[in-house]
Amino acid sequence: MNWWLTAASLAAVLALAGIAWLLRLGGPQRLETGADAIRLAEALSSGFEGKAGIVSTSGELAAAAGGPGDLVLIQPLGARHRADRFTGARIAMLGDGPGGTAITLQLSPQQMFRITVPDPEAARAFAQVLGD
Amino acid sequence: MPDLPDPVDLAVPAFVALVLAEMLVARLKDRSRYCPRDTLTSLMLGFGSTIASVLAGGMVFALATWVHQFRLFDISYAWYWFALAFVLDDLAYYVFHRSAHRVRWFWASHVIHHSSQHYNLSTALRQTWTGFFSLGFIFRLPLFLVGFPPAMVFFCAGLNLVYQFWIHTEVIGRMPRWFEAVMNTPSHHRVHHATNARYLDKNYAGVFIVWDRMFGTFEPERDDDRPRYGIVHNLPDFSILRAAFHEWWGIAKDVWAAPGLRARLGYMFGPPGWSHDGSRDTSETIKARWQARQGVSAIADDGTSPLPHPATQRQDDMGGRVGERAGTA
Repeated sequence: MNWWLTAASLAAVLALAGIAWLLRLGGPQRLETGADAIRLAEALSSGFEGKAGIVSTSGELAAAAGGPGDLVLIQPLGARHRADRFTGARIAMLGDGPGGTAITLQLSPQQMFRITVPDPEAARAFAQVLGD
Repeated sequence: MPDLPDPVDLAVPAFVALVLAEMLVARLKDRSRYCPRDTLTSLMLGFGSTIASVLAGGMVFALATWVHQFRLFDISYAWYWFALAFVLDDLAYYVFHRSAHRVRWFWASHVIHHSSQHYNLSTALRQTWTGFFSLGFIFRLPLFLVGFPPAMVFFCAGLNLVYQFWIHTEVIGRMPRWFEAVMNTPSHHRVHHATNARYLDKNYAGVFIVWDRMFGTFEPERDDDRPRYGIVHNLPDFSILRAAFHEWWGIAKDVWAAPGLRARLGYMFGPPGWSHDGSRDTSETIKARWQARQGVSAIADDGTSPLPHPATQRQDDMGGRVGERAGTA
């Protein structure tokens, strides 16, 4: 084992990661529309077919409903996204406010999630598909 | 026996310089091509892989030397034997790589390389830690039985790995047509890393794409179906240990809970996604579902379904396909 090469490789690894950070590479990708949310949910969650999608006011969170209880939640993961699918999800609360329509989702008996959507129509269409 | 260098060791400075150059291009063109945390994970996995290779390399070389004593031919270190060894080693790599995507035991080791949602030069360095454990080296053993000296084969394997570094990039679009026809290229390998249903389990080549063309696993990259990278069930974080071991953990859990020996074997040696009750997706089920959807949407849109379904076959007496709109090209 070449210890010099090993040490130099480790130093290079840390230096490159540091340079990536200094160059401000990555960063969250904004989603724009419900169609974006559906497309991404279908791409990231095998077998899911979205019928209604919502995107948060920040553009970083999104959700897509495929039918009653069938939900894919999309959250940023570095410069990409992660998707989690829930089959027993429901709308716990839905209310309009100055910042948009706040939707509280019950993902499981122990897990809640809140998302604020700028478009009230999209929020209601989403809630209708997901059911309560 | 000549004292052959390790091509990977010699290439390390070039790897570092090219990753840096690609980062600068990303800064200018598309910053999302790199993510610092993903890059750190990829590079640390690469670093860990070199450590694992050193630890296991002696045993693999000893095994290769033992097998070599039963060789059919005495092959010298003449340059033309190096050339033949390189080609045959690449064929052995194709077989290994195809198995690594079709047999969960090998996939558990290889999945690490596909676990990034990014496709850049740092992804190339995201290499396995468990290659020795998964017995991936058995695919090269026939070369030693034929008579190729172990040092020659491992030298060629190193060159193969170095070649595969530069194809992990989105900076290069397409290479000249003659090159794309024979060699593995960034375009071909983007397809291999993609999770789009169309691209699943395609383009296994290491250096020569001709193996995929010969064995029916070639798929060209399409401009209208941009690759999405990663795995069917992407990792939820940038954990190095999760990336290195998650599939092995998955196998252990499935085997533990499996009802009977047949199911246990299926969870270990069946295709990734296999389940005893059919409740999970394999690449076949994903492709079948995608093709069905494509068929439905294509018929609905313009009747140009890619499915070989009777309803979409050309009806010569009608001058078109069923569902084709009158007057459309």
